[in-house]
Amino acid sequence: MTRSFGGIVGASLCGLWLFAATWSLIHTPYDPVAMALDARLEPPSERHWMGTDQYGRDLFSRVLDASAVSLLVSFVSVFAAMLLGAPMGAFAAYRGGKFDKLVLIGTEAVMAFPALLLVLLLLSVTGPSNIAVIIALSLASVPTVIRVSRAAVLSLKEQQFVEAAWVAGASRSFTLMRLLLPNCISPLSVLATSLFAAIILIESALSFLGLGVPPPQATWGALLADSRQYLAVAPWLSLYPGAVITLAVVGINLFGDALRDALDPRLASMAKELS
Amino acid sequence: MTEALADEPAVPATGSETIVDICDLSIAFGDAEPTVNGVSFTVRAGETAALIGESGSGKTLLAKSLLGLLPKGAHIVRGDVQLLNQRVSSLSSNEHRQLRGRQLGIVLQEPLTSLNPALTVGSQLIEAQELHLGISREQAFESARAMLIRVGVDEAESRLRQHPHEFSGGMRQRIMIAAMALLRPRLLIADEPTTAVDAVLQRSVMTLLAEITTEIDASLLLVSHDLGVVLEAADTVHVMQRGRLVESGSAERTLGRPRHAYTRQLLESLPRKRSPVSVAMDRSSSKQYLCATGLAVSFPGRRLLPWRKPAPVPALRPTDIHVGPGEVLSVVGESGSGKTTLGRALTGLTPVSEGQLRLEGREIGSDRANRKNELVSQLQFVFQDPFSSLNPRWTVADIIAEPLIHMGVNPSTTESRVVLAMKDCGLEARYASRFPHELSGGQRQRVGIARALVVEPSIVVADEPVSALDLTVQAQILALMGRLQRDRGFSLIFISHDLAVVESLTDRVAVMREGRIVEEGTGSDVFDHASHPYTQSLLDASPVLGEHSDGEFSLEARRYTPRAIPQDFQPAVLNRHAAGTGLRYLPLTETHRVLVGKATASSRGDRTTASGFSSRMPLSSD
Amino acid sequence: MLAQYALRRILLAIPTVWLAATLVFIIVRLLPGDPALLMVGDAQDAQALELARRDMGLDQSLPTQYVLWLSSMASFELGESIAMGLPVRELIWARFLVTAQLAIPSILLALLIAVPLGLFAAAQHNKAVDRAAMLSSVVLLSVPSFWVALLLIMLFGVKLNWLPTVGYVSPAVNLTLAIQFALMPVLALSLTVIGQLTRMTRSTALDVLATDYVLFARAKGLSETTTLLRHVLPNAVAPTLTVAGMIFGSLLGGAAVIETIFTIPGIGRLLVDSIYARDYPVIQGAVLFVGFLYILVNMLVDLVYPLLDPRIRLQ
Repeated sequence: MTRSFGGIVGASLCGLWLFAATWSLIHTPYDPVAMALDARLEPPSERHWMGTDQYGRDLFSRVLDASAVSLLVSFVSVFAAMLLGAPMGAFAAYRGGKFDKLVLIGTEAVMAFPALLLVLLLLSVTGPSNIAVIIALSLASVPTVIRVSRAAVLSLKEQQFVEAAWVAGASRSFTLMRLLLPNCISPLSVLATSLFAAIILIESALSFLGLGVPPPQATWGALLADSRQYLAVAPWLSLYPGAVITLAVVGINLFGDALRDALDPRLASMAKELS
Repeated sequence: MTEALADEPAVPATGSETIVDICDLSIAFGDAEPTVNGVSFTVRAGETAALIGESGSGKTLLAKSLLGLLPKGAHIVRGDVQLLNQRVSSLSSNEHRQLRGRQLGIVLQEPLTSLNPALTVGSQLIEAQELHLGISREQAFESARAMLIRVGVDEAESRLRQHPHEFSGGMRQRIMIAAMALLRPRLLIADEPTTAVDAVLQRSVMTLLAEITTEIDASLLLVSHDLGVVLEAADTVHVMQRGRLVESGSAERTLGRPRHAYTRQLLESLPRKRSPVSVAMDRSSSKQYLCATGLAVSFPGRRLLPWRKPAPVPALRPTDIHVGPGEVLSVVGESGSGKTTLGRALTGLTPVSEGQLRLEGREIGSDRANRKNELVSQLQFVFQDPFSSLNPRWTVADIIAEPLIHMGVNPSTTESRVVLAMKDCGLEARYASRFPHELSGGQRQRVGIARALVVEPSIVVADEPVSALDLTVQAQILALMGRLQRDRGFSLIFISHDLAVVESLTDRVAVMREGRIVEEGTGSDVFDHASHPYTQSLLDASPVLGEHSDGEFSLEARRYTPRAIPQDFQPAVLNRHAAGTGLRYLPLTETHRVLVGKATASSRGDRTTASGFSSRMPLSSD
Repeated sequence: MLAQYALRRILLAIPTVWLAATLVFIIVRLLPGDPALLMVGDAQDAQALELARRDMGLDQSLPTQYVLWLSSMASFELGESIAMGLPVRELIWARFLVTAQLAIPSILLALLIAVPLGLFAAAQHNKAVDRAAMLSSVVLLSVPSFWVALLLIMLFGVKLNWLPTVGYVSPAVNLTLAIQFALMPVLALSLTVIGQLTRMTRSTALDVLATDYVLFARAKGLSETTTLLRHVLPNAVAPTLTVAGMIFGSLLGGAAVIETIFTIPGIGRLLVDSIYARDYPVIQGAVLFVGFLYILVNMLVDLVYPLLDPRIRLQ
């Protein structure tokens, strides 16, 4: 019961952010970049739900505006990593042999570095831009995706019903398309949620360091970075954006946990181990 | 509530003390229908009581409730248990815990997983002694050493410092028994103690249990589905079916003259001795349908260091075997004997490292992927595990239709053939749209058989098709396979770890050990004239049930007369002929061959000896 | 057996180190951009650029460059920092020592809290304690550590004024002060880790609790506490340790964000500053160093593993 409760909370939080981010593209209460020097560092009020920053910009509008970018950058990164990694891992496991070895060596090289470090190195070469951030984030996550989809296909290949299809005369393409891929969806979707949560955190850390999505675009991490000078006088500038990130990531994690419990527990635990 | 058929009193009242008194006990998971329902029986001092039932009968749950170790969610709804005149319901969980080990012991079913892999065997033997007996570590170590020797573990002193993974399954079983015996409980519960043990070791485990319980003056509660074991060991028997106790009484009476229909059904499900007039002897003619020559399989070994070449691990050593048209060939051996590998290699599921396969004299490739459709459909396989061999996302009809779809059979023909196959395999039409998880184990195995037969194969390889099933279901599936084989006339290669199971079904038998066939012959050759020591030990381990004309049952030892090995084929002579290991097949009759030669002690420390192998002398029938 | 396992594991790390170095080479040399320009950092100075090109062997063929580069990395010839004019090697080592002062207490604190908590939660499966522990770990692992850092500064530094807000003091200079300065960064770093490790310990402990050997231990009459500590803990902690090793490796790699917030001169801060300053010899050297460290820590954990799970030795 608690588990499904967590899933409902998680799904609602995810839905809320999706809605807020989409809505912010059409409308925000204030212009997120419009300065109002007469309304600097105002505490939260009815007019400004989350207060205003040092230039009098409405923090709530800025958070909404940042949500769209942060979620989009993270989502595209996860999507790209899945699109690249899942078929590669599945094919490597299915084919085996040299191709499999090559793929494994590649993932091992990338996984020899902590993810944030690799992203920093890539960004240091390319310089910060939206595309560079997305590419760096997805490249750093691809090996994990490859490992999980490879492991899923490997364990499925051992399943007797796959052998039984073999006995029944199934072709290679039938085995791959009808038997292996549908059964990989469970571990991969669980992986996607945990990857999404991790990437949101890394992306906001990058923005915090000023190495992520370049200014003037507001992102969650950039908002927090800006708030540092005003910790004493305007604590709301730190409190709200941080709480927003936390709620988004908690939502995704809870949703991912519920997903894992609902899907085949054995496959899901495998994904957890590898992620 | 229906009263169990019980003798009053169950055992002659010799005034012996009652150890356990179970009274109208019901156990349920949550609010569900009780899994154990109104069960009453007693176990007296010194008695060996057997609790018999199939899976789902509630017997294990009942045993765990005595220990106060019910799984999560299970609770006692009604009734009570008296342990040594203490009512369990009046005990606190801590008081109940103190009875465990001290008064009540248990030996679990699975020896491989029942000892903690992270701790030494010694510390696991010592910890409970320190707790219950209040003796010093040194004393506990000393008695652990003595007990280990008693249960048959050599070099006990050094072995106490080893970890469980350094022991074989049989040894770990003995260690588990030792751990409990050290505490001298009044009642020892043995939960399926022989199920996970190879056939030839079962008897020694039972003997040890019987001896130990006598020595420490404990009663034994034997929880088992294996009637053969129960028949030999038990004083009293309690039969459970779906949570209820259906019959209780002395072993002799209950199993000799069963009153309840279910007890009778259980007994009748036991594998029988072959009727003397065996089925169609002409089938096991010299005609060869599928024939393998020098078939061998080895798996790549582990590379220990990068520059060392991994040595291949042989799973099947070069083997000649054939099956005639419409013939039933049984391949029997314990786990690791290579029997499954042989079956898989014959079907093309496992790549062959050397040797040839011929079907009707024409050579066929050993890689299934390169075979033509007709050939693929001629050779079908029935899997052991009825759970994982069916795609969980497909319906029964989809699963059975799969081979036809791959063959490109048109949809209307497919449908009619699926319907027919289901009917033949005893599956009602309404199951067509069900998913595998909605079926029982037996039904699932029927689906597996229907899938193999829907393409009308000429050869079916069945890999332990009944070993995952309950006794009564096992008998039904065996009967089904026998009937289908007779009706459709396909050749059947039946792989089993249990020699007794195949007896009623088979035309010829091949007994395997350590990747080789050690004896091969017709049913009568092998069952009546077993000549290899390993075959003999298998037969000794499986007594037969005799059914008398008056409806009574009795357990009889197997009788067989080994064929004499001629003087000029004695190993000593052989060694002069065959270079190297000096092992050959010796044809005893035209149909009966046995592996002879210098006996080498088995590496696993089991009692029987196996023969090594180098050259082959195939049965010269062609 | 144990020696063979250890040798095997150590040998296995060598190709990984080589692969990691190759990856860095690929990123630095093969991505668009002039490495000489990156190294010199001044496009105007044509002469210095030319010199750097020759120095780095950029006029040679790519395979030759690769071999030259590998050999200089293998002999720890990491070059000089453009911005600071110091040998990269010395710079990295000094900064690494500072980072280690944060990473080691953080991982220890996390293990000290997470392992008992995870074990306790598993023992109380589905009860209130378990649910509370699980909910708080989800929250902990979801909170950005730099936000936690800001909150801590706000609370302990600004509001209560208990601790110094930002800065670093070496324990060799003043131990008490060093501890005061280190408290908040260590706490910020370990909170996320506590969330991860608690979940890990709990889930492996739940698996262990369901095993036959735990049932057998209970059947011997051992108390619940003895069963948990003697039979469950060693088996449950082994997989947790592997994960803890990976986390420790990345902590040693520098918590760039935390070090930036607290202005701690650690290796993460060095990396970030070098990226700002486009100080490529330092970036390259620091990334390589952290990569090797990461591989080393994971190897060490694998070497400790058989002590907890004796079965490993045989495989």
